[in-house]
Amino acid sequence: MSFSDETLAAYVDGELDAAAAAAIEQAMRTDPGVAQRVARYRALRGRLQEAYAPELDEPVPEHLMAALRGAEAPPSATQTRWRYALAAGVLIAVGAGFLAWRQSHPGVIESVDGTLVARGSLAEGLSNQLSGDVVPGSEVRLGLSFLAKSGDYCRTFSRLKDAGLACRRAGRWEILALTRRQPAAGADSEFRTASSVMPADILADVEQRIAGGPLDRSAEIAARSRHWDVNRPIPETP
Amino acid sequence: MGGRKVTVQTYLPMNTTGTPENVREQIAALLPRLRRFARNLTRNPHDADDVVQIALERALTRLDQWRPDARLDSWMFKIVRNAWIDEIRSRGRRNRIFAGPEAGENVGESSIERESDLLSVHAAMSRLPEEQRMAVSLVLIEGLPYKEAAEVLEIPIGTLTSRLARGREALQAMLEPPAGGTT
Repeated sequence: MSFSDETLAAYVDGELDAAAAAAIEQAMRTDPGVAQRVARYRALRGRLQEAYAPELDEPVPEHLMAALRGAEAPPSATQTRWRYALAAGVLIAVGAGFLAWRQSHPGVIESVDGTLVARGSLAEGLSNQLSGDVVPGSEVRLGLSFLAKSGDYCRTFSRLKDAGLACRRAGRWEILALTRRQPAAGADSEFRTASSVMPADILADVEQRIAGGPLDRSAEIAARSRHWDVNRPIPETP
Repeated sequence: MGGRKVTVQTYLPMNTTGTPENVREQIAALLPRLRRFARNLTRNPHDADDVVQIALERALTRLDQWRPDARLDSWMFKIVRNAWIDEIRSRGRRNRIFAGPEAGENVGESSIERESDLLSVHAAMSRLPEEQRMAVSLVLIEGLPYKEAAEVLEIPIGTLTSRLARGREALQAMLEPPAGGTT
């Protein structure tokens, strides 16, 4: 069976249905020529993505974040920049916090189709830790958990330098807000108080989303036992 | 349980713009990609940020037009592209843009010798005609499905795939050693 260049390229681009893709995969196993042509398209795609990946790590200029917030003032003056910095809300926090976070914690948070998703130790903490608990070896603290109006379980979390809000959707923790934390006055007490001092912009977000009040400890344990999915039954515990 | 029992209600005034705020957050997360796309579009980082800014301002006035079942990235890419088209028109400098000195900014002089892979990929991209560059940018770099990319560019899918094919061919010719040349 022979395949056009366009078909093989479409295969590499993920545009073929399962049957057509399977036919190509079959051909790739038996026909080195097909395999080679596919590899060539893959290599080009991979090379482009690799070459353009570093641009995603560049910090977004503040005037763009301000434009998104609908800020009125011109961007260049240092004065206005300070004002923006002081007025930084959840929005700036999400962008700037994310970039700062990603630089210092590669892999803990990831952008999937424009949605920020918790990974690794953060996802682990969000799924397993109870609010206020200190888990040895984990930098993640959980502030409070609640049921959102959207019907999802959401939790606030904090680390030494960051804090945020994550909601459980489609089996993953989506980060809906993220902000840098101001260092506490006493460096010593910083870590100890991590769970109780939640930045105001994160709490504003909680305020918007919460249905009812925060979960208490037993409600949290119940939510955890159903994997933070309201559609799952709570398992019977002896 | 002191710290945790604090009720959130005590903290802040209620803000009830739930959905638009959520969209803004998502757009904020898209900003690095919007800038990257705009650079491929304009081939000039300053123009790119200008165009992204215009697009953000426009998007804010149309947040209610975005339907949650549509992809937000495609929607924003399209606004960016339209902002650029309007910008070119209003500046009346199409000629300068297509032969702009900035186009050479990322191009190494000895790009044929390829000092680094990364440089040569950018150089090769900047040499593609705009039509092909846009198709490659949206599909191969930004990862949009054909259907979405065609919609952003407002062309039929068949046109998209043929531009894409020509763009691929041109890139391969620039980036891969000639067959039989060096083995």
